[in-house]
This record gives sequence, C-alpha cells and structure tokens, in this order.
Amino acid sequence: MSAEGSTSAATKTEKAALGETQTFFAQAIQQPTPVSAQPDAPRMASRFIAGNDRLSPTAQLEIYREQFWLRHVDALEEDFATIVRLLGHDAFHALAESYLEAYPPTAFSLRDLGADFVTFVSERAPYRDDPLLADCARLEWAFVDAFDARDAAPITAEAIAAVEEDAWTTATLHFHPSLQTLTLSHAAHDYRTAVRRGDDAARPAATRVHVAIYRGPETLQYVEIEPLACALLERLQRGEPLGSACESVAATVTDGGGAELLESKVAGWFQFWAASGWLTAIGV
Amino acid sequence: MGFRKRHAIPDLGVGVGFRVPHYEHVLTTHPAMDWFEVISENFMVRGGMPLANLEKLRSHYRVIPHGVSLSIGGPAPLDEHYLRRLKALVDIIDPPWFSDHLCWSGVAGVHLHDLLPLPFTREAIEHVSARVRQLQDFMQRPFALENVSSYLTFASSEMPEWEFLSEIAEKGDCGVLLDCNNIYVSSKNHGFDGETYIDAIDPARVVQMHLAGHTDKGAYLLDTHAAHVNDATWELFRRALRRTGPTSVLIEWDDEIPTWDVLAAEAAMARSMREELFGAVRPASARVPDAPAVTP
Repeated sequence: MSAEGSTSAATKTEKAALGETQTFFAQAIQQPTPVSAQPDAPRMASRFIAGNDRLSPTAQLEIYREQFWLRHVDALEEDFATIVRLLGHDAFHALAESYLEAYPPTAFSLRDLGADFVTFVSERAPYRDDPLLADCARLEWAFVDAFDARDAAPITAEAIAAVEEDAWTTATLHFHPSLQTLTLSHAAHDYRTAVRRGDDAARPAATRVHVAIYRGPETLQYVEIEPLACALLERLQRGEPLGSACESVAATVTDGGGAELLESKVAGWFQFWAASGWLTAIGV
Repeated sequence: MGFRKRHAIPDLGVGVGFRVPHYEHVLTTHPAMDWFEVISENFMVRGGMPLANLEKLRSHYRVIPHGVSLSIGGPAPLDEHYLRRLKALVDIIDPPWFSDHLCWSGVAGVHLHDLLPLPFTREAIEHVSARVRQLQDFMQRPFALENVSSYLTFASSEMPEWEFLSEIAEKGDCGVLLDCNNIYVSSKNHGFDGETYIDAIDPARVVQMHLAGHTDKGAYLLDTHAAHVNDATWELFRRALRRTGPTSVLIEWDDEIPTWDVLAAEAAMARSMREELFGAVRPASARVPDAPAVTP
C-alpha cells in the first residue's frame, strides 16, 4: 500500500459532500491516463476513498477507470467492426479514446454511444484523410439505426390500387422508418459483409456506390441501388410529391433524356420498393 | 404490514436473464423456466426486433424489467425523458415490480454506464430515499433497489452498507432486490461478514434475489456475471431464503454466456434449494395468456 493509502486524521474529520465526491470520481475515471498519473488525483483519492490493506485509494479508483474505458471501447468496437478491421485493434483503441474524450457518453443507453462517430472520423485528423473510414462509419451507424427504428406495416396492394390515376403526380410516398439511403465513395457494404462474416477482405477500392439499408421481416438488409433511384428516394423521403421529385431528378441527367429515362425506370423501382416493404403509405 | 404483503408481491419461482445467445432457443422451444428478467434499457427502443422479441417472450413467460441506468443516487435530477420511456415499457410489461440499483451512474450530463458506489452517509440516505419516493409516485408501481458490488469504500461513510440500504428502503418505502453475489463480492473486497448483511435486511422488503458468479482478480473480486455461483454465495442465498420464505430468485449470467443447459442447471440448483427448505412451492409464474401486445 502506498503512502497515499492511509486516510489522515485531518481528512477523516472533514466529510466530503456527496456531490463533491461524485464530481471527483467521475472526472478521474473519464481520463485515459491512469489515476496514479493524473495531476493531484492520488491526493484527492486519499481524501475521498478509504483504501484497504491490499489496495490504495488510487488503485481502487483505478478499477472503475479501467472498467469505464473497457466498457465504452468494447461497445464502439462492436458497432464499428469494419473500422476495427481497417485500422487494427490498437489504432482503433486510440481512435475510440480520442472520440470518447471529444464526445463523452451522455445517453442512458450504450446503444447511442456512437451517435457522433461519423462526424468525428469525417472531421478529425488524421481520420478525415481516409474517406473509407467515414464511409464505414456511416454504413455501420445506418445499421444501428435500422435495428430499432419504429415499426410500420408495408403498404397493401389494395391501397396502391386505390390511388386514382391522376393523383399520382401530387402523391407523397411514406417509407419504412428503418430505410436509409447512403452514397458512399467505396464499396464499403460488401467489405462490411465480409468483415461481419469473419472472412478475409481486401480494402475496397474507391468507387461511388449507392446503398439502401433497411429492416426486413427477420433481418437487417442492404441493397445497392441505381444513382437516380437513390436521388429520387432521398427527395421522396423528404416529403416531396412524386411528380415534382421525378422532374427534379430527371433534370440532373446531364446528357438529356432524363424524363424518358425516369419514366422507363420508376414503375420498376416502385414495384421493388413495395415488394421489399419499403413503402408504407401513399398520401393523396 | 410488510412491503411484500402490502403490495401483494408474488413469488415467481426461479428465473434467468433473457440474453441474446438464448433468444432463438427460448422463443422457439419455450423451455421450462418460471420467469425471465430483461434489462429495461435494451427494450426502451422505438421498435424493431427488441420489441418483437419481448412480445414473443411475454406470450409464454412472466417478465420483470431490471434497469441499469436510473442513477437513483446521481447528483442531477432524475431524467424525465428516461422515466417516461421506462414507464412506457413497464406499463406494457405490467410486472408486479420493477428494479434498478442502489448506485449512481453519471454527473454533469455525462453517463458513465456503471453501477458506481455511494458513500454510506446520512446525506446520501436523504438524497436517495427522496428520489425513490419520487420514482414510485411517477411509476405507480412497486420498486426494488438492488445492492451493488463495490471495489472501494468512501472515507466519508458513516455506517455499514446494510444499514444504508435498509434505511433507504425504509424511508423511500421500496422493496429490496438482494443480490447474494454482490454481498459476497463486497464482503471479500471490504472485509465484512456477508451473513451479518443478510441478517440485517428486513425480509419483508425482499421482493427478489439475484445469484451470479464473479471473477477473482487477485487483490479483489470483480462482479463479472461470467461464472457459476460459488459455494459461499449459495450459502448466503440459503440463509436469506430461510429469512424471507419463498421468494423470486434469478440467475444472472452476462459474460462468457454458457449454453442454455448450463444456465438451466444453475437455475435448477436454486430451485432444489428452495424445495429443500419449503417443499415443492408452486410459483405464481404461470404464463400470461391475455398479455396486451407490445406497441412502441
């Protein structure tokens, strides 16, 4: 037991208030450095913590500090397994530490721990220099959100059939809350699948891909979608009427013929969206 | 009249924690088990598979929600957003009680996701018991506080843990979830007698017990829920049962989770200990056929 392990008579008579105790405790265990190496922490630990014949107050507090980091880094490793694979365990640990220092956990559930991870790896050097990290983070977080998104029943064939022919232009489409579309700069979706299966996987090459992530009846699913379908879905999910959304997307086709191209595709996309359970209602 | 009788707290028999590796087995084969405990926060979600699984579980078993994030001893006011979501879940499950830990979990808006120990002081008793009353007023349902394992004690403590827990339960008028493993772990870490702890708790307030394993780290025991219940903890359980009479008990196994058969065998040990003391008591844990559907 070290010298700071014994509580002096002076500190015994001076009772620490509950709030003061908790503030010191919380600050000490959130530091990535051991309590013994934190400025003034061993002296403060001796003031608040009794210690025993096996462990000094600092060593006792260190148990909680280690658990804080283990628990939170483990949770991030689980949610961002592709980034662990890309960086390796030690480098991911360093990333997780930096993240937790920048974004301390504030939600009651560990489920929300990675809510700012996309922002962090997109903005913070050196992680921002590798856009694959942001791609993987966005993809992984989309799966987390899809897992427990609100439930909604898929639209029925009868509800689709009931929409009058001339109502489609101004109709708004409502989608399953789990559905998210992502535009990625790498085929991170295939890489994620390989990593989650435990397969060997080479770093994916840079290529622009559009992916939809959603919750099926039993499992989380993803599918690569066409660029124009992705653009249309994004507009429709924002509540834009079908006609105007199609016009806007058609106008982005730079070599002309956008309207005809959309017209030839939309019916097929619509059928796929309905069959996949993405569509839940049509507002007319 | 004691807390248990006043709130008609039933004896549910022997249960286990509902954990992911066993979901498929439990939800498809419905193995014999008196009841299940769920971690409340894992089901305080908007929808999807967690709530679908909970609904399937409830259609065959009694379910008790057990929280880890209430922070009843925390310095900040109780989190209203958390309480509303907890109440929504608890009202769906409609259990005879719900529980969380005698601890704190955060400060200044940061959630540390741990069951942190409190100093055993008069100040903390007043603080926590007032919040227990506030919680039960809001939830309109009996609440049980669980004693936690700890790895330190505070210089400011004015009494032993069993007095601290008893006084909070009395002043807050709540139940006690007596975790025999936590008593064992803390008794070894802090050098007190676990039997003294058991004997000091009002048996009429004990609505449930927990059993679990821990890990010996050399200079201290760590509450990992990653092993079999050890012999000394079984003996503390037997002693507590003699005082409480037939009381709901739950096996917790949260890390290095074994096969269902191993877990069920641990539950069978608890059941045989109950039967040894009380004979074949029929627990009030029959399935609830008319449970309302889960809606987020």
